[in-house]
Amino acid sequence: MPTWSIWLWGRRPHVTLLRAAVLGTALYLVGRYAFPPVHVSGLSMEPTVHDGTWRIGNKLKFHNRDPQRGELVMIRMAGWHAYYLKRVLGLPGETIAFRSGALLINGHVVPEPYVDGTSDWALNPTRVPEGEYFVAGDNRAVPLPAHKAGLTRRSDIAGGLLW
Amino acid sequence: MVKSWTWGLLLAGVLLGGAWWWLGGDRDLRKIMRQSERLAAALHKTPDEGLLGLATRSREVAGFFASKVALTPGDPLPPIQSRDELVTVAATTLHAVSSLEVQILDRELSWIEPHQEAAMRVAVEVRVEAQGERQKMLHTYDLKWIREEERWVVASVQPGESIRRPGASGQ
Repeated sequence: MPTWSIWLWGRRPHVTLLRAAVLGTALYLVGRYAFPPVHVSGLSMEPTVHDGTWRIGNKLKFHNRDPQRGELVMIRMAGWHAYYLKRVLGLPGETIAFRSGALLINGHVVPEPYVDGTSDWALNPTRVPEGEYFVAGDNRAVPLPAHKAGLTRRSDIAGGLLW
Repeated sequence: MVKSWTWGLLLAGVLLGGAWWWLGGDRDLRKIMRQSERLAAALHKTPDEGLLGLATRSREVAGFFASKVALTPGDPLPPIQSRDELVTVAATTLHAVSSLEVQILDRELSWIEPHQEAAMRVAVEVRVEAQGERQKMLHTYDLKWIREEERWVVASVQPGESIRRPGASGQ
């Protein structure tokens, strides 16, 4: 057997093919159901997550627990490849508001260390229904009406970020 | 040397897989998928496109829709209820922007009534340049496809966002 052929296929080609098929299938399943590669598109999560970068999602993150305030979540859009990436601000049953850019939960100011600079976001007190979360991006330079922020159902939260 | 039977087995596997995908899959669903890709491509506008081109393009876009439509694409576009109305709105919109690109990120398709009506949820990235300002937006839409004169056309479009404004009605 020529050297190049051994290098390419190994001494037992059918075993090499089988290994490649198993590895390919495992990578596909892990990528689809557990840790999908995520290509970030848009400025909504600046400065935490930058436009055009790649991250690794974690679809198992909220299997056994619910998202907590401050955590990043992937929210289902359509199919298996497209997600909104947002931060959880309001939990079910809480009342959320924004006053001069400050986040208020149940009337109390909640610090947001991940936000860079100040904003003029304003939102009247809004109760987050049971089974839903209030989510928003970190980029407060975008006016609230132009920002994709608001209520999302727990069932639409597909996971979080691994990295 | 790789034995010939290994190659034969591999080739047979690829051929069988291809045949299964082509014959076993649903051709109508594949047609709808292709139509949605063509619609996204038809919405593409470059800065150098002239008025005549835009007029032709508007009619081409309208051709992807049913004669009676119910489109509520959301701000800044108004609700649209006929193909003629759609030609006007498409021409106005394409004229108002310097460039427009719609890219399908992902979609899911299911039958409402097999081979007659299908529901599609589609996630798109819209890149638009208008008055010197560039914007990139992500949207999700619910489309209803129907068969009309042996062609698959869009009968309705409405926002299908998984994030909704407080106070707005549910999905």
